[in-house]
Amino acid sequence: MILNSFSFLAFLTVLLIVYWKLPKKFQLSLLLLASYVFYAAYKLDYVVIMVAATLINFLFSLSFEKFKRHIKPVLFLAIVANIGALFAFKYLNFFSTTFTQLHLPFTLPTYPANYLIPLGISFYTLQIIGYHIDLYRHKYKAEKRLINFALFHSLFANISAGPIERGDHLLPQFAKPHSFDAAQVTDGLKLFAYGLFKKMVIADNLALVVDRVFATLPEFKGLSLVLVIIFYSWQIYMDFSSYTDMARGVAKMLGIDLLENFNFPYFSTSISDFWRRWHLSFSSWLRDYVYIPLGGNRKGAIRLVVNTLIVFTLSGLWHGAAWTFVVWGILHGLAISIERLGKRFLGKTLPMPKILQNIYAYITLSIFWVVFRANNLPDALYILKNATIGLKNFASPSYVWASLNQLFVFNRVEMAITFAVLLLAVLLEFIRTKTTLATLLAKQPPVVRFAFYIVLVFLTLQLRNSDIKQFIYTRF
Amino acid sequence: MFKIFAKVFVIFCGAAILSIIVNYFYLRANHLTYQWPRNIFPKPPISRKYQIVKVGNSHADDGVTFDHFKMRSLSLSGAGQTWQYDLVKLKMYANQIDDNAIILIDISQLSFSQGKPRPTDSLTFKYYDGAISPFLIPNLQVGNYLESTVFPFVRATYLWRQDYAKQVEQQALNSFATTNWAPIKKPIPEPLIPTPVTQNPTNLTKNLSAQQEIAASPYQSDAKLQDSVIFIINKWHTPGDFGPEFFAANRTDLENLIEYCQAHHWRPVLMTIPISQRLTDGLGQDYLTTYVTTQIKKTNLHGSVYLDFSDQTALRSNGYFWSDSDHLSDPGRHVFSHLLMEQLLAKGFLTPAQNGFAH
Repeated sequence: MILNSFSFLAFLTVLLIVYWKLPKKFQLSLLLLASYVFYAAYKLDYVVIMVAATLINFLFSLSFEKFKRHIKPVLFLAIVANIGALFAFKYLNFFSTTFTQLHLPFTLPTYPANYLIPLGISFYTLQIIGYHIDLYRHKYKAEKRLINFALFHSLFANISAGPIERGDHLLPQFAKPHSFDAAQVTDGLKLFAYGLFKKMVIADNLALVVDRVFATLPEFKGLSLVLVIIFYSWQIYMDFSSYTDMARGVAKMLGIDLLENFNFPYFSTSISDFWRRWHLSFSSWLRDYVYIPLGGNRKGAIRLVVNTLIVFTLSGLWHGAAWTFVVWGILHGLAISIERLGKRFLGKTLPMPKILQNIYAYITLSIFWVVFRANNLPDALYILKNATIGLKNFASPSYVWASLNQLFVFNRVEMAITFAVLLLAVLLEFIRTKTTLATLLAKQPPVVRFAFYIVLVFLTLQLRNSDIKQFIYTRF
Repeated sequence: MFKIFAKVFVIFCGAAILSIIVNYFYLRANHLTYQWPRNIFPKPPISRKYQIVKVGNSHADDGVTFDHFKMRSLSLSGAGQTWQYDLVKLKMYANQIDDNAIILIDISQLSFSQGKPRPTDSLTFKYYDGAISPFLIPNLQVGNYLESTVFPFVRATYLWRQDYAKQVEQQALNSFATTNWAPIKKPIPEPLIPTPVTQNPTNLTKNLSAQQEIAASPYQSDAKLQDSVIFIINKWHTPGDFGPEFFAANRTDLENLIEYCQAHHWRPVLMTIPISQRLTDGLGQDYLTTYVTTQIKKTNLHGSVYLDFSDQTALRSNGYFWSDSDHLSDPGRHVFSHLLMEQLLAKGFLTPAQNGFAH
C-alpha cells in the first residue's frame, strides 16, 4: 500500500473517521493497529519482524536506566543489533556479490532474487539508533509505555521514506491526546493533495522520459542526455519532497507534526549548503550521530576530510546496496571536503555572485545525480562522457529539434507536457521562496480557492500515468 | 469533520465534471461511445442451459471444438488461464449451466507449474474488461477496476495520450519503412503429402472413427514447429513464471475446481490434450513425469474421470495437425474433438444421439 494508491486513500478515509470519532484514550492503539495493517499490506510476514524489532529495541531502551553502570555496552549492543539486522536484510547480497567478484577466500550467503527488503528498514533503523544514542547521552528519559514506543518505531505515515524523527520531537506528541482541529486537518489535507499532485503530475511525467532514456542509453548523446539530467534532478526532488508532503499531511490530519525535510535545495550556493537543505532529517542525523562523534571539523584539516568522506560514503551506502550509490556519496564527500578546506584556508566561500554559486551548485548536483540514477557505473560514465558531444550544435535550432524528436519519439504532446510540468516545478519553488501556497490562497475569495482545488484534483486525475509508480526513496 | 468531507466531495465532483467533458471530446474524436459497466453480478439463469462446458488455457481453446457435439455448449477457456480463473468463470456462469452438465477441465502440460497472475499482469485486466463480476475476481484491484469500468472518464487524457503516442510511433515507423525496408520473402510452405485413398462408393458413406480420420489425413513434416519448440521450452522453464514452487498451490486449485463442479452436480471430466511429438521430445519424458503425471497422482481427483490423450502418436507426429508446437490446427482440433467424443461415449457421458461426428 503506497501513499499514492487508491487502497491507501480508502484506508486513510476510514482511519480518519474512526480516529476522530473514537474516545481519545484509544487513539494511539488505533494508530498502532493502522500502522501494522499498513505494514501487513506490504508483506504480512514482515509484521512479525517489525513487532520483534520493536520489542527488542524497547527492552534496549529500558536497559539504559536499568544498567546505568553498563550503559556503553548496552548502547553497543543496541547499535550492533539494529545495524546487524539492516546489514542482514539489505546488504548481504551486495557484499556477497562483491566478495565473489574480488575472489576473496570466504563467501556470504545470499537471498533469492525475488526477496523483498522489509519496508522502511533503512529509515526506522536510523530513527531507533538515534533514539538509543539520545538515551545514552541522557538527552531525555526512555519511553516507558510500550504502545507509545511501538508507534514511534512504526508509525505508518513516515515509515516508508521518512522523515527520520527524533525521540524528543515525536514521542511527546503521543503523550497527550489529540482534539479535532478542523483547521489542522484541512491544512493536512491540502499538504497531502499538494504532495500527490507533485508526485503524480510532475515527478511521474518526468520519469517517463528519464526511464526510457536510461533503459536505452546507447541511442542517446549530446543535448538529449543534458535534458534528461535536468529532468531527473527535478524528478527526484519532486518525488521525494512529494512523499514528505504526503507523510506530513497525513500526520497533520491525525494531529501529529513531523519534521520538515526540504528547504529549497536547488537554491543552494554550494554542495555543503545543499546538505543543509536536502533530506534534512537524514543529514542532521548524520551530523549529530556520526560526524560530530567522529570529531567533526575540530581535529584538523586531515580529520575533517576523513570524517566527511566517511559520513558521505555511509550516506551513499545507506541509499542503496550498489556501487553507484557509494560513488555518489563519495563524490559529495569530496566536493564538500574541497569546499570546507577552501573555506578554512581561504577564509571565505566561493568567490562569485550568488546566482553563479546557485548555478555551480545545481550543475554539480545534477552531475552527481547521474551517478545516483544510473543502473551501473559504466552507464554513468557513458552519460557524463557523451552529454557534451556536439556542444557547439546546442545553439542550432535544427539540432535542438532533432534531439527533442529523438527524446520524445516525435510526440509533441509529451514534449509539451514534460516541459510544462518542469516549468511548473520550477515556478512552484520560486513562489514558495516568497510565500506559501496556503497563504496565497487564503487571500483569495472562496470561489477562486475552490476553483484552484478543483483544477488541482482534475490535473492529478488526468495527467497521471496508468501505472502507480512507487516513490524513489521507498526503495531505500 | 463532516464539513471537510463535504468540501472534498464538492471538489471531486467539480473535477469529475471537468473529466467527463474531456472524456466526451476523447470519445467523439475516436468515434467511441461510453461503455456502461456490465456483468457486475454473475450471469442470470436462462431457460436452455448449457450441457457441456470447457475450461482451461489456450490448449483447450484451440484443441476442442463443439461443432459436432449435438448439445448446448459453452467455452470458458482462455489464453494463459489457470485453474483459479477456471473456477472464477464457472462461478460467473453457474446459473446457466445445467445439472449433470459435463465440465471439461484441461490438465495441460504447464497447468501444475504455472504461477499465479501478478496483480499488474495484463491477464487480470482481461477480466476487468467487463467479462467477469468484480465480486468474483481474486485479488481484485478495486481502484483499477473502478477507473477502467465504472469511471473511465478519469483516464480520458491518459488514453488520449497513449493513442496519440502509438499514432506518431506508427507514422515514424512507416516513414522509416518506406525508405529503409526491403520486402521479406515469404517462406514456401511445405507440401502436404496426400495419403492414397481407394475411391470406392462405400468409403464415401462409411463413418470413419477418429483414428481412421487421423490415418486418412494428409501428412506434413513437423520441422516447421522447431522455432516454436525452442520458444516454449524457454517459456515453460522461466523462473518466476513457471516452476515446481507452484505445484502445491495449483493442485489445491484443481481440487477446489473439481469440488465446486461436484457440489453443483456437474460432471467434471479431466483431460490432457496432447502436444506435438517434437515438443515432447524437446521437453524430455522427465518433464511430463515430473510436471504432469506425478502431480496428478498427488491430487485428489474426487473420483473424476481423467482422459489422457498424450499417447496419440499419429496425431502428435503429423505437422498437419499443429499450428505450433503446443496448439492444434483446425484439422487437429477436429480430429481431437472426435477422439474426445469417442471417449465420452465409451465412458457413458454422452449418448449416440449427441454424436455429431456420425453421419
